[in-house]
Amino acid sequence: MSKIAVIGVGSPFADDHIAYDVIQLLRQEPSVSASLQYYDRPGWYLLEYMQEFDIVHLVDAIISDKPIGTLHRYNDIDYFKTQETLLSSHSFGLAETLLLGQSLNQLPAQLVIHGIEIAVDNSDKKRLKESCVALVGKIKQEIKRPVDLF
Amino acid sequence: MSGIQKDLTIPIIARVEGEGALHLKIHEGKISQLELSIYEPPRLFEKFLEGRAPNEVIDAVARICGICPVAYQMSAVQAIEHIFEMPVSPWVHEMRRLFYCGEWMESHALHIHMLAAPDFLRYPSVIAMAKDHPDIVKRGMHLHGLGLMLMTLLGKRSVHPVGACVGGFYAAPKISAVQEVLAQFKKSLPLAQELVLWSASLPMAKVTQEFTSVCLRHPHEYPMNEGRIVSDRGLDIDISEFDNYLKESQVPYSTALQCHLQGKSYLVGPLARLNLNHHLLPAEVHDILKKGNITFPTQNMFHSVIARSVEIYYAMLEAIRIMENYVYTTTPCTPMTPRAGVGFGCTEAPRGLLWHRYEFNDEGLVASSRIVPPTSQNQARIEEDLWHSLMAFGLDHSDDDLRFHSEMVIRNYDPCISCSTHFLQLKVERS
Repeated sequence: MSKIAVIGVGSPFADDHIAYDVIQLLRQEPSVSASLQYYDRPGWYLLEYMQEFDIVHLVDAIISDKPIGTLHRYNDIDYFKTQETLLSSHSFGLAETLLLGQSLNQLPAQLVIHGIEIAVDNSDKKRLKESCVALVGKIKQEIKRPVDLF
Repeated sequence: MSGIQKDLTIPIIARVEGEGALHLKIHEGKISQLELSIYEPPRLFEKFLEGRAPNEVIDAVARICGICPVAYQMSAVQAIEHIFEMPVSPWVHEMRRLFYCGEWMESHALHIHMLAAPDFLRYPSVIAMAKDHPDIVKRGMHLHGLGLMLMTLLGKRSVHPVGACVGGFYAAPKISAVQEVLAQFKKSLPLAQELVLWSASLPMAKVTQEFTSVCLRHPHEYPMNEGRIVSDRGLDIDISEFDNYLKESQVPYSTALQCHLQGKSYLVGPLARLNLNHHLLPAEVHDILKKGNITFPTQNMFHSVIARSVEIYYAMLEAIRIMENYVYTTTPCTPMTPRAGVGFGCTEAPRGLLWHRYEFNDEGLVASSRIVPPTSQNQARIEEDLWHSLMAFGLDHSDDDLRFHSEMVIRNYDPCISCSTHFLQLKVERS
């Protein structure tokens, strides 16, 4: 049987805490049969946390040009390919960590990255709460039928 | 290249903590101007601290840096306890040392493997390096993780920990939790021994420079939390005398203050600590140094990477010693009685000497504060090293080669610009 984890990452402050909120909501769902974990900015150590699982759903806040609350879903690490010239370990974020995991051949067999769009300079708590609830529903569905996903 | 004039700018220095730039002017084959510019805006932490209560200071200063929060907490706590005339219990002394071991391991492992190793092995990043050297990167991650474990054990979380307070810690770790971490450390000790030998085998230039090493020195301990400020040129002062000898000044091209000792640049950090305190290392560390044919003191700045590796091994041994002797206590903290006064704190952050000064008012609140981080102390030394290293490297190299060499020299100091803003765009002008 596959070992499944849902891992939320991000700062506990401001809207970056949405990953924590998603994990907390999932913990209230008795039907979810997955390890539920949250880490505050784990950096590259996230790879160690993911190592024991076959299927990992990662949850993080995302900033792009989409409206606040937009749900993102990626299962192709190449989407995160950057210049590979890192400014510092301070800026070694989720994308760099996943690319490092790819180089090390240390990623789970199946990895899905779920993102919720936040904004740097404004917030919409109601919208973000709705998005967290919606994402919980999606993750529950995906955990139930992981074989269909990939 | 006599007669060639050139102006080279590195607009953002890669793989350092924070943002800065280097501007280089070359005139008739000689460097006519070299400016290391730290352009991150001042963070004004010292002002934010005014009016704060003692334990608010301990939590606030942890936010200055995501890599070395323990150092900021330990220098602040020492200064405040100095003002309140609080003795430090033997239990708290040992736990603070254990806390610091975690931060040295976390910070050094990150720098060696993620930032410095790609320079020595000629890769653009750790991601590229990981494809050819996965075991090296995994070792770095593992040692980094062990450091985080210790920080979490005492700080309750590894990023901006919240477990430390004036007088000690809010809670003592359970014996079972300490035993769990201890077992991991014992199992992983050979990795740190391998790391020391590996770092000594890295290809590095055999160049020496004249520089002054400055750090803390304690009569019996390899310095972390306590000691007098000493140099290899005869300086030996109490931490309260810092201001009388180590002078901060502003340069127009940088938001970070530079620091000089009697008008000259100086080095703080792991190499300075080892240069002045290698005799205080335990026999196990001397054995591995002998095996790797490694000697301290050294005036080769590139040996900083070896110094960091040695300090990781030492921190693991020290952490094992402390955890083996761990005793649970129901009084992890001495109660404080705030009072007015001025106090000083100085501890050895992973990057070097971190000096704090606080003045508290009659209400027991901060009236004023001053923080001198290691990177601003190293800033003048980095400029001097760049001058020396680029001349030795040869200025007729291409801009790309000059940029790579400059960045490597700078990264060797593991500068934390975010802390000191108070790093690299390289601008080279050739004329």
